[in-house]
Amino acid sequence: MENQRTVLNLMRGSIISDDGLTYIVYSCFYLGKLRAYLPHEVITVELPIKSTEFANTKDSHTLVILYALAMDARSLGYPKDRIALFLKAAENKISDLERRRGSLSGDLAGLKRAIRQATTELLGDQ
Amino acid sequence: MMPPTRLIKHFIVCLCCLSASNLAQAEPLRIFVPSFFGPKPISQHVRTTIYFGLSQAFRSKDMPEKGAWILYGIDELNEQSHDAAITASSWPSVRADLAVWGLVRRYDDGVVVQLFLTITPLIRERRVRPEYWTVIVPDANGKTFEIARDIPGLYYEFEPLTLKKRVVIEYEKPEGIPLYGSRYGGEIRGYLGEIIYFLEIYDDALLLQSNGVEGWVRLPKLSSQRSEAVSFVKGMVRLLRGDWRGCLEDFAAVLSNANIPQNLRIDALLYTGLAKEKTGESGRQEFERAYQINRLDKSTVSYLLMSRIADIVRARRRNDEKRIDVSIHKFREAVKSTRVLFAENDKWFQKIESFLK
Repeated sequence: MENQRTVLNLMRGSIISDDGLTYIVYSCFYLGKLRAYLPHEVITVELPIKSTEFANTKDSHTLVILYALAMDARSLGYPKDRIALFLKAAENKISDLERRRGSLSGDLAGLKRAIRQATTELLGDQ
Repeated sequence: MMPPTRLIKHFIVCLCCLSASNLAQAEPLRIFVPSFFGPKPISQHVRTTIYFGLSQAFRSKDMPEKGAWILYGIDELNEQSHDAAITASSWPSVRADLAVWGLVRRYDDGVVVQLFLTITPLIRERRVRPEYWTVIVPDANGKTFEIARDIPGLYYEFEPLTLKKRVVIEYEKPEGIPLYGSRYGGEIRGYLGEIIYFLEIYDDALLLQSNGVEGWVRLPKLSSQRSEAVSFVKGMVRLLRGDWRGCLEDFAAVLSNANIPQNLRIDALLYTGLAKEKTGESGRQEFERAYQINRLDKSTVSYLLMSRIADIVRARRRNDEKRIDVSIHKFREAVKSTRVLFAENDKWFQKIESFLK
């Protein structure tokens, strides 16, 4: 990724089943330097493949991308109002995920903390 | 009885709203519903159901609405994007202010529907734009300070719906949507084709003629989830036509649904507050609720700042000095704490900052 400056992040995934009936998708995002407030460079999103989980699967992937975009804008020295646009959208996705699933867990919980930290820094909170 | 309207293959035909609107200055709006993406025939039947749902929302005999033409598109958009919806809506034969489009996809054990609303640039070409909010503050020297804002959102995505299994089974049949003998069901007389004549529309059923057969379509509930899509679209139409009471009703229905995306909740609050401001009430409560939900939303902050100015104007009219002082103080605080959300050279915000100078 360091040699590919136009690449935001790398993603790879696996679909695994223990019983041949229910399948889980594991999506791993490598953020590199864009991890910023995250403890690790890799975020893993784990979700069952079911029609009722479609919205959560979509939104959890979107959340990672929005965070990466916000941190990319920050690292490029973009003005705060631009960074705020990505963080605003990310906050909305956190809310949608929590509405459907209850509180976030695993790497998504860590991502939420990172987004909140970025928001606090941006707003100079109080 | 409404005169029959024919759907012609490869052309867009309107379900026209007749009779004069009670909003004399606001033009009727055109809502375009193109063919949905996804496996056939199920995506087609889902689209037809949504189209009928919108038709019922605007043309039901039980509760006639005025001011919306709903256009049935035979073809899909060029791609799954708001830009493609805008392009299709700008065709001379369409000229739609709004587009409701969708994507149906199989996902593991079920079928998921994603619905989108695109508000096109054509709304800015209307002679009258009730949704545009201007606050005017006269001063003692006879001059005025004016600040204005357009609507906060143009592109919306609704909560994805998982189709009920019964609906999937029925809509996968090649015959499609059945035409019943009575408004309440009964014998199946035939099935809906591509050419449809609308005869009567009610809240719970439509009387149609298709493939030479006259019969009733009873629309199933697509999902066990309650969708906010039709209420939101109807609320937008009423907002854009300046029907403030109607707008408040529809966005109240949207907000009563616990299962809506957060950005829709925020904008529904903003539209509710806007409708109140337009009728002389303060919308500040709604704007503050939206701000509590997401402090990074620039549109929310814009509306909140304008409502604080409107509060100052209202307090001045009442000669309420205490209220004026409180409103000015809160306005100053809000400007200071939200500056970061606007670009350094943002002319709108610079005007806001100049208000108290």
